[in-house]
Amino acid sequence: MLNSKPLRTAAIAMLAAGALALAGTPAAAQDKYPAKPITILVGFSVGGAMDTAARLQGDVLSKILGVPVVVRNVPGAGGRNSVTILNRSKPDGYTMAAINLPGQAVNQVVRGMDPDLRSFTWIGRQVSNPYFLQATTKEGMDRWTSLEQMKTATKPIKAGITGTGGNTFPISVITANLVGYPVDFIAGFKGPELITGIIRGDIAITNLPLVNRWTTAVQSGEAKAIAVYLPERHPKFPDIPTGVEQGFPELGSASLVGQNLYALPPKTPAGVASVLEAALVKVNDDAKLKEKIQANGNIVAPLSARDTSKLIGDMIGLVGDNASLLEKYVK
Amino acid sequence: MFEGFGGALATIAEPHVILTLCAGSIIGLVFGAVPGLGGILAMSMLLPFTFTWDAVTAVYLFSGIMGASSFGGSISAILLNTPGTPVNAATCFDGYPMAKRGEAARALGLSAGACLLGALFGLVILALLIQVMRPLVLAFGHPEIFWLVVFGLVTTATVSQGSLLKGLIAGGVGILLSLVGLNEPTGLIRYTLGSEYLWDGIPLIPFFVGLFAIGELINYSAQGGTIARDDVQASIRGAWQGVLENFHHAVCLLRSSSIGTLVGIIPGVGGETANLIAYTVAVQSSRDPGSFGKGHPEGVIASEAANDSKDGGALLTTLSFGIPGSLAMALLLSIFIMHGISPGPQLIVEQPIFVWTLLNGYVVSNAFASIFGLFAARYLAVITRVPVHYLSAVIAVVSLAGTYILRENVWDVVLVVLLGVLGFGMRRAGVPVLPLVIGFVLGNLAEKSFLLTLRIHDGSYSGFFDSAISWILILTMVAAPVAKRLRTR
Repeated sequence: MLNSKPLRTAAIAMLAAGALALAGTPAAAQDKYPAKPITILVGFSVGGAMDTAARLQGDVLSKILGVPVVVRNVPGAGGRNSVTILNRSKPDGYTMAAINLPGQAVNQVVRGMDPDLRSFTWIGRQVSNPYFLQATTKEGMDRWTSLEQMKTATKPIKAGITGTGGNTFPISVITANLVGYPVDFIAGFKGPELITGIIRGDIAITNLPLVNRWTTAVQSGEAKAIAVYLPERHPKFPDIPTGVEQGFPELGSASLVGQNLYALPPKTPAGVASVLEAALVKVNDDAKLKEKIQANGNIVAPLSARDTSKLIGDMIGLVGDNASLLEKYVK
Repeated sequence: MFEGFGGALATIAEPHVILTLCAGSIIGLVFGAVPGLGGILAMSMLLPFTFTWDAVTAVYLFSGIMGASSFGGSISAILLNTPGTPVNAATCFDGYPMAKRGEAARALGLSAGACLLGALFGLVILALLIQVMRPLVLAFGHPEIFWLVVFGLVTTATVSQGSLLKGLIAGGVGILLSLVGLNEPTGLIRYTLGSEYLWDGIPLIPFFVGLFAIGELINYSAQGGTIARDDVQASIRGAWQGVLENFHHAVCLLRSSSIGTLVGIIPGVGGETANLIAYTVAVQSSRDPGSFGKGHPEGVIASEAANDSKDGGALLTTLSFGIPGSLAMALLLSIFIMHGISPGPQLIVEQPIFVWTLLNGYVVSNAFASIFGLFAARYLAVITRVPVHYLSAVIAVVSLAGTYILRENVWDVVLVVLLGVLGFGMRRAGVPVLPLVIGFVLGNLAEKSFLLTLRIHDGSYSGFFDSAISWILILTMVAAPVAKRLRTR
């Protein structure tokens, strides 16, 4: 068909130009970040608190960055799947993860699992969930009213926890150690079972995130809120005293607050990370979104990449200091 | 309690609400029918879009999805022997044999009727007892859950069609499979072969998709022909007959709805348990247990009535305690909270209009799904006349893609294929699948409630026998087979 030389030359030139144009597309796309959809890995099932926050934030993030932001649920191993998948993802800024801490620090420090969380490129905070201690008010049970009183217990206090994979486990063990009360942890409850367990008197105490759904027993008088692990009282729950005001300043540590933090794979270029860090600050400043997420009792507060990295270091340090205690429950 | 009913009813007549409910119901049906997806995924995906909506409209959308997804799941269970969601597993056992007999429309009608009536039963119980139900919810602790689950497990012998030995082996293998992963009460990681993938155990959706969908697909390929071996009675009359047949099995319907509501009330016990317990109790209570697994209408009714009534029970726990009775309820609570509605004991008193909005939406979407089922049954039934080699390709793509999409984990797909081979092998060897499913779903729950009961009671076994409910369950478990034997003499 193309038997004349000029035509053949023109065709080859057009093909070459086309190939060059195609080859040039990714390079051009790489110049401008972001140029394609970004994935947020969530290590828990659809419908959970972390998933809900990621979807709401992802929606706003998408408008800020001008590219779709897709939540990918990778549930399993108490959120650990998000850590392992992020670790082997390309450091191109198109995969980020919401990671639960200090729960994941237990896997690294106590279970000796890779990767080192400090190797990730941390870019900010998704939400933080302060924890609080509640005690049963069931007749016939030991009824605890303050941390100081709990120290006087002559036999271990039965404490319900969900399992050894999430944030509740290290926070429960470490706070009991810091206060110094004897405790017998019973693991394996689901969140709702902890509430009915407290009301029924199956367990004497439990630690849960200070959000609406876990304060219902306190509201109905079937449980007493003993302390919240924050430096100051929570504005939404001002009647709950802090551990700090009960004479335990260590309980105000930011490392004892459940945190969902955003990370990028190790060695992500600083330029890419800074774009996402700035976008996350804007997301967390979105008044309407903030209102929706905080309605539940979560705290949405922007945290710089540097402060997030420091927080990770502190949490790993705190879990390391209590490793021998945590090891008793991790086989 | 009935204060907000009028106000909520007025909102349902608004055009945008009708549209939202219809959209929610259609989404629920589709996501329910595609194996691997399910209503919770649909709700999560749509959550950000409702961000700026008013609370009433958002609640209608989500109640629409919740209400219709269970019936959606029964469509694929009946037509393809593939439960759309894990809560439809027991529907396969008799729904599919009916489809093979050419009675798919009737089976869909049975399911549509049982779904709607079961949902209504659960909601009536909810509406009547919501302010006095807290003691019942609290009465079900770990010892009672243990006996309830054991009750389901011991029926393995009853539901083992053919060889009792094969049935018990299948049940045992099911229990062993359920023990894979991290055992939270002891902190032990078991049978994971060193893989983090199995840390949380064998995931439920790949288990069902593999065992049923892929197992059946291999079976299709081996056998050829069409699903329905007999003439297909695909008329609206056939479907309507199925709907009405629910009333001929009123005892089974009421019993299964009661079981569903009760299981829904108990926090931490899911819908996949409700349908299996209701099914096994139906088999045990029947004068003709041998006909179950071969297309007995009560098999479909028991499973689907329990499925839909359990939502009423789960709503009861969610609304009266403010704690979610299931994952769908947890999502619903998030939606409530985001729109400034605080769940808990005061919700019914302070915001009755929202409670009724939710209940109205749930009833209407169930009705919508059932009416859809009624009219679509004759067209859907035609699927059973399509040559299976065409169906195999569609089932393979939809099932594997649906499973992969949910977690984007290639190991889920590998697991589906392995379990598919197991399912096919069991069919070929004449080993019943139901005991395996019962063992898998209930085994882990039995162990967990056993260990927690012991821990709570300081290692004493007395905790298992402390309450009247425990004794009622123990005595029923012992008395049921004895009474049955006496009756059949």
